[in-house]
Amino acid sequence: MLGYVKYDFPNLCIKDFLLYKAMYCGLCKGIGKSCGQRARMGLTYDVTFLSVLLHNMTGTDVKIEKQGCIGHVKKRSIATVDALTEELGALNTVLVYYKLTDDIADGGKGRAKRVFFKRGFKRAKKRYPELVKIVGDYMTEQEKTEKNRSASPEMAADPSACMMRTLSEYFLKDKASAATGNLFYEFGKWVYLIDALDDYDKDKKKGQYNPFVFAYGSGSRKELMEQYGEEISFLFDTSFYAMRENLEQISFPFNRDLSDNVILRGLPLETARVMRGEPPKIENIKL
Amino acid sequence: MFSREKLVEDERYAEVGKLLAEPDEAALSRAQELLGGVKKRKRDAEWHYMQAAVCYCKRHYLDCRKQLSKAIERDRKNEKYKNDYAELSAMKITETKPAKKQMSDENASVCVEVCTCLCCEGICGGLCDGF
Repeated sequence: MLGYVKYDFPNLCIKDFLLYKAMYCGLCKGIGKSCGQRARMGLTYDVTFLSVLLHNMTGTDVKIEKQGCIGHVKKRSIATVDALTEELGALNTVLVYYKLTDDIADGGKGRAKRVFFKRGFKRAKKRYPELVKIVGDYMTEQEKTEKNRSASPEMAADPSACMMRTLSEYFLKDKASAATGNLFYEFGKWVYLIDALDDYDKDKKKGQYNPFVFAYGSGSRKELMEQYGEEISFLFDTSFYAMRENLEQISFPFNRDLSDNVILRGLPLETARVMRGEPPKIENIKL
Repeated sequence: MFSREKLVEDERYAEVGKLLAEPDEAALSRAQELLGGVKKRKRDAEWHYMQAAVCYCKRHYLDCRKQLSKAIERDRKNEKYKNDYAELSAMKITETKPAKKQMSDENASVCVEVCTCLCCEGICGGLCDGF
């Protein structure tokens, strides 16, 4: 369930694009620092976005410097690694590790891949036991909910959504509020549901649990959208509405254009793409 | 006039209503427990309405709409159900606009003030072409 959080490039300012790129590379370095070099292979856009959001919400200024990188010849602008980035790097590794564990439990591939993250996971567990416990507990809860074959997509998404809310409280500490909790809840719900909708055909074919297959039982995602498109749209529209309502109540110490772009434009665009059944867009933008 | 069972249910709904006034995790769990205690054949329009309220507090909007539909089906004259259904159905973003006045907008207004000042004092050397 990783890799769906994207920006809307045509509406993104160059300053925000450069910031995003710098944060992406900064998180990669943060993973290396907290969980070892191999764990950097699991770098995701989703946690990069969390890094953008949480740095802003906690009032942690981002310093960007020209730095060298193992994957690039030329030096590039990279956000320097601070304590928050390191911890988010650990979160990235833990989420990837649990995702692969889930894939293996579902009878899929991932055993070889998971080996790459095992050491990183152990390092994260040793350094951030509370963080790993939060993720682990909610993953167990998610597994239970899926085993119970919940027929409501929202109920099925609840453990993942609650995990995001708890993580926001963990990272924001005294800056956490009802609005931040609700925003992260809706974000977690969206991530779970968009992944489930995208995997509809695959899960249906393999006979694996998918809340949409269980609730609607249409032959394919295309049929699902033809038969129940209005309901599915409502499910996501209300989530976007709630995100915007809560976003309005949060004060950001720094410029919020980038997080607004992702939440208000990027997520709905990605949802529309998944609903249409189009493949992911690979953007290779160089400035 | 009222059966004992009906009174018990009314008390139950009143308690659910009280719990939903401050809907934390424990209150929602207790409210769900109370509603779950009503037998399926006894679930009337008000039960579905209360269930919709629990779903709303849990941020399960689709489930909330489904429960409201059931409440309306059972009591078509109830305006409260219809209004809440309409309000919930309107929860969608029809336009994409910034969530709030932006930090950059605030900075921009300061910037304009500074520029105006510089212009008045002629410091910019006519670069702004009279602003």
